[in-house]
Amino acid sequence: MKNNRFVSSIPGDTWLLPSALAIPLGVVAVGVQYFGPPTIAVTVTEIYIRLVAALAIYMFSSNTGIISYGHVAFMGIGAYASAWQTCCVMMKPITMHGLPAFLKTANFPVVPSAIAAGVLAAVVALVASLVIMRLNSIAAAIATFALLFIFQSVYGHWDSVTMGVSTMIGLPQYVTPVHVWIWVAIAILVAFILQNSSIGLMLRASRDEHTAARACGARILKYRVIAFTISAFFAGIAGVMLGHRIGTISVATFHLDLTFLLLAMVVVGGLRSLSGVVLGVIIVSVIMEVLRLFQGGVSIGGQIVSLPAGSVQIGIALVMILVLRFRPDGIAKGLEFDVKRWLGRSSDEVALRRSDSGSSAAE
Amino acid sequence: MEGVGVRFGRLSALDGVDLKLRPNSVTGLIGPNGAGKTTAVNVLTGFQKPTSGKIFLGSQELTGHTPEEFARQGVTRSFQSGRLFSKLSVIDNVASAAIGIRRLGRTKAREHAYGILEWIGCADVASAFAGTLPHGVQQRVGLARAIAGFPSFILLDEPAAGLGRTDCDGLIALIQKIPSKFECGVLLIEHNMTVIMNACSSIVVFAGGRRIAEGTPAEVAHDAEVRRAYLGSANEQTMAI
Ligand SMILES: Nc1ncnc2c1ncn2[C@@H]1O[C@H](COP(=O)(O)OP(=O)(O)OP(=O)(O)O)[C@@H](O)[C@H]1O
Ligand SMILES: [Mg+2]
Repeated sequence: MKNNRFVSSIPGDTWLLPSALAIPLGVVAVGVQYFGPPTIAVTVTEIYIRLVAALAIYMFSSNTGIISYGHVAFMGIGAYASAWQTCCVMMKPITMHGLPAFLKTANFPVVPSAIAAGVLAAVVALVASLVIMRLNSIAAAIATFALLFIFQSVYGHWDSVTMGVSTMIGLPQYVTPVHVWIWVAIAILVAFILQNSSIGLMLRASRDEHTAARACGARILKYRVIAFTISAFFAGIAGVMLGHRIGTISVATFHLDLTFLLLAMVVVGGLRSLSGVVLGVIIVSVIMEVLRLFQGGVSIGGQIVSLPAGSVQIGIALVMILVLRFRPDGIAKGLEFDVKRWLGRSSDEVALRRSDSGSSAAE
Repeated sequence: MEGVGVRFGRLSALDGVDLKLRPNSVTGLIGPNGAGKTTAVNVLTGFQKPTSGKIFLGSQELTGHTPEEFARQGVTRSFQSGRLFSKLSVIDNVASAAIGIRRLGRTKAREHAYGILEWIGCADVASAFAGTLPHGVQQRVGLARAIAGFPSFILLDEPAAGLGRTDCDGLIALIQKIPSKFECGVLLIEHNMTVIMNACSSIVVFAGGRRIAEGTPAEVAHDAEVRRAYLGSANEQTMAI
């Protein structure tokens, strides 16, 4: 066959994409952790945690076309599950007397605990999605929102296990920039593999045309459940990282503010490409940090300039609305970094290329 | 299908209809608007559960199965409205049928799809987004997608609708070759009488949810009831257009 180089060129050279996204982030992580000031290290850690969470939403929503408003619930489930395994062994029998015995009296190493916490989030997602994913896309999106409120109710009232709405303190603060980066890299890799897999392709087919996808034999329910479950694992991990970064957790952390922030990031960057999500998280985070700085008061030429409280949320909301209005596919327009061209020409302009055309050959 | 009836509330879209497709040949299905042609295709691909009657593939009964199962059993279709995956490339549109139905890997599926696109004359747009293509090319891609699922029967719902004269002739010529090339039977719905008379080895006529005639093109053309139902008061002259 002539002119068919794209037919078989799927992984090979395009593995450059996840590498090109993950490696610079890794360099930054090492840089700030070992050479940077601690405040910057904290900021970078927080950005990377949001990146894991945003990538989790991306894994599900970009392929299925169903926006998930419920992933923050899986972050909460992960955070609490990790706390049960690693937090405050002295206090647990009293404050969380409803925990099973093996959790109440012992602590476990943090990394296996994090993975177990992610698995719990994934199992909950698996069960929930068996129901939710039968719905059409709008109804399914609303149902994911309902999940968030179910989580809030259950964890906010299950005092003997979650301490209700009180803040749980004393989680080991082991999370460093490099540590989160490892999860970022894994999440980028999994998102990349998923979107280039048969499951990813069939899901994107069903996103465009549900009826025609069924005529192509696609078991859409099954594929959606798989994608939702995998993505919930990473949401769970992001929640674990969040809890162990600050050292405290409460159910209020895992509610609308965080949901809005993550969706804003995903929308600003663009839900249709991996590069877009990474860009979106970084851009919105930078805007957020700048606004936060001004909210706290900045001295410019002797004058203290300060923005009123709440400016951060308003600023992000405005950015999101502007992007939706002028660039509905997000900053990246659904394109991926064209790593090959970039390396080949070594120009400073990073060219973007279509991602949905099978991450190849679109000239 | 045997004695199939489909009711939407009071309306009877199909009423005790028998329809038999022969392997390795093109069967035409004609009838006025609202005759139940699309409904028949929906029934034969699992998208519409019949209110009464049964569907068989060979000796195997498929009544009540899902569209996914129909597709995997070897009955594929195109849609009257195209329904391409607009944000996927053309090659992935076609490959998705091979992946969904035969569980081919992505690379294998794309090779398979590329072969079909070459045959159908769309290989040059293989990496374009399906949604950006002109109507005529989209129709061909829809046909390619139906072929890519290794079908034993392909049901084509007005694949030539809205095409110009040359595009239409080219597409119909391809459709006529499908049975020998891909070893499967074809059901072709089409409004243009000349086209259907030339392309099909047998023709079925629907009107008002009933099958009113069946036979070779010549038999059907001379059937009085067909002329009454399908062409109103038209005479045989119009028929020959
Ligand atoms: N989902 C539905 N609900 C209610 N009525 C329907 C539905 N689908 C089809 N019908 C009705 O059933 C009848 C048969 O429709 P069908 O689409 O099968 O006709 P057709 O022969 O394909 O016509 P056309 O040539 O216009 O495509 C029509 O009266 C139509 O309005
Ligand atoms: Mg029709």
